[in-house]
Amino acid sequence: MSAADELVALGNLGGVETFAMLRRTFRSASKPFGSLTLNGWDEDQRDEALQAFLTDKLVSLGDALLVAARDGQDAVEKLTFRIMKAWLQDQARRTDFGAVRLRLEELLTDDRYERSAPGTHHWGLAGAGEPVGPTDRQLLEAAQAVQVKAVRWSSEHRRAPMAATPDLHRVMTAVLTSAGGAVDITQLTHTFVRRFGVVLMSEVDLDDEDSYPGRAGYGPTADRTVTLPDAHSRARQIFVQLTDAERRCLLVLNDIPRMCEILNAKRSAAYNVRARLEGTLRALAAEDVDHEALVSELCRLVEAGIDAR
Amino acid sequence: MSNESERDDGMRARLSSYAPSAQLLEALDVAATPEGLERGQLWRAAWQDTRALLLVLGDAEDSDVATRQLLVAVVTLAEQPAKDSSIAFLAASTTCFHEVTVWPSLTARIGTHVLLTLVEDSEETANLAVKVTSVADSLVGLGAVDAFDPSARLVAELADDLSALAEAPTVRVADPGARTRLWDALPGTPGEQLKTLTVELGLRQDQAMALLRDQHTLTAEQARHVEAVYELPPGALPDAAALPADVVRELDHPRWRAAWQAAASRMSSDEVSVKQIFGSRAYALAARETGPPDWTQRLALLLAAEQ
Repeated sequence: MSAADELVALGNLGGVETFAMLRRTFRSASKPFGSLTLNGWDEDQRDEALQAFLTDKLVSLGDALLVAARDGQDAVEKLTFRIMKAWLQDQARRTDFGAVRLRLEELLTDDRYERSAPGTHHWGLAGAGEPVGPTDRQLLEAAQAVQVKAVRWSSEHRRAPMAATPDLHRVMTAVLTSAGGAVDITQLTHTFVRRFGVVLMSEVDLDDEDSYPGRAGYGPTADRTVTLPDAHSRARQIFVQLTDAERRCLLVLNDIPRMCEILNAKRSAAYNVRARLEGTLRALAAEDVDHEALVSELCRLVEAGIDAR
Repeated sequence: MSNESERDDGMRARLSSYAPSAQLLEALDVAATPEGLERGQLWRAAWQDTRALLLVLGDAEDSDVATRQLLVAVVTLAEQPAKDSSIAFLAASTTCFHEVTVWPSLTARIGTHVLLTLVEDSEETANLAVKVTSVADSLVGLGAVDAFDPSARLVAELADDLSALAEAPTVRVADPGARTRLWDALPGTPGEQLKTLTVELGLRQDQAMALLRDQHTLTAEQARHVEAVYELPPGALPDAAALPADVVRELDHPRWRAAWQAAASRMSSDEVSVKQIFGSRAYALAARETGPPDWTQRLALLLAAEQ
């Protein structure tokens, strides 16, 4: 009996096949998310994560699977995989998001900024006044308009900084000037996460220090060597962020049907991946790096990966 | 007991603690297809390997399609935009579901032929439909989802599913201005018509007579060939591939969906072809009767006879 048949028969999630399907699917969905643990998954950690997933999602998952079960085993497994993957992505992103927020809170202690009122989470340039509600797009465009130098980072255990501190201040100033008032720090964090999305590397193992700033790796960089990036190492930094399918898509960005085949997805999903890859390459063009050499190295890495298969 | 089996027991106990609402189980088991298709209904929809839950927002107005189309919004369970996403959504508890998520940016016109079964038709879903409509209106003109939005990929996948449902084919509707009876549409005397059909289509006389008496319908290929012989425009002759709009509307009603799927499986065919066959037969039957046709009754009889 399949898990789908069992769900229809029992009307709940208590069956043996259902449990086996959830476990199997979680194993598959969790493979790319080794960064959620210190040294990659072991069985204990995977089971703990599955338990956390079930704690968060049990009720809505149950409803979803009971409906999907009427459409058969494939529908059940596909939906379960998608729900699990989204949850895991959320967990990974919280780690990035929290790290960026900490860095911004540190940045905002500078005298050039102030809270709109004591105890609030709205920050503006000194004397800026009341909270405002700018659109995310407006803030992102202001952030992207500021050219920053990418930071060369050699540590294998800590995240690279988003940018050097003076550059972060320039971006923050541009964002707050554009807003024309005080902005909620959550919205500022979203903006910086998107602005510096090419740098955030959830796949890098975290430092084993227990202190949050240490774990975040976004501390001040005054005491670290900041040099211009080498195109090859920059290409490698980007390469490791991409899934295997996204890497292969880099070589066929103008061929949507081919991208659909590679991604095993339909049109809109392929356009979304293309937009993200193109956005990543455009953001690189704004950095002080040999763009042509970087793209060439990126393609070489992709082709080497394809040849190796 | 090992750690692993303790953990397994713990997880299975947690899974067993889930209890669906009685109304959900009843809706899934009964698999109702009501007569009326109305705003606020929450339907399971499917076409080939695409599945979705859709909330009916109303009839699609100003549609240039002759058959009925509904305006719907995508609904998901256990999936909603990430906390740091800027994609609009509505979440609510309903009679059947602990929580549903409705996506106002994912709306489309669909034909009724992709609907499978009604899952819920309650005050909560009716209220959701009203709210979604007003939110969807406010989203018009805001532009595409940011590609880097954490939920952009999910939205793209849901949009692809919605597109597949919106583009699902159905029986072609005959041009309302075209002649619907072959003997009326063909030029010449009945004798000349009979001769043309036997010669041009290689039919026996009794087969040609059956066509002229509307006991059978030309295939699309036959119709195009005869149109070419008489230098008639394509679509001038009635064929099995096209049926009057009121017949197609009946064929597309979800009350028949299970029957078409079963027939397609039995006949090793597809839903559209099966609908064409039964629709043509129902139409041919109606030609021999007086009074306005009851398509529901005719199709029921034909399906009963088939089984």
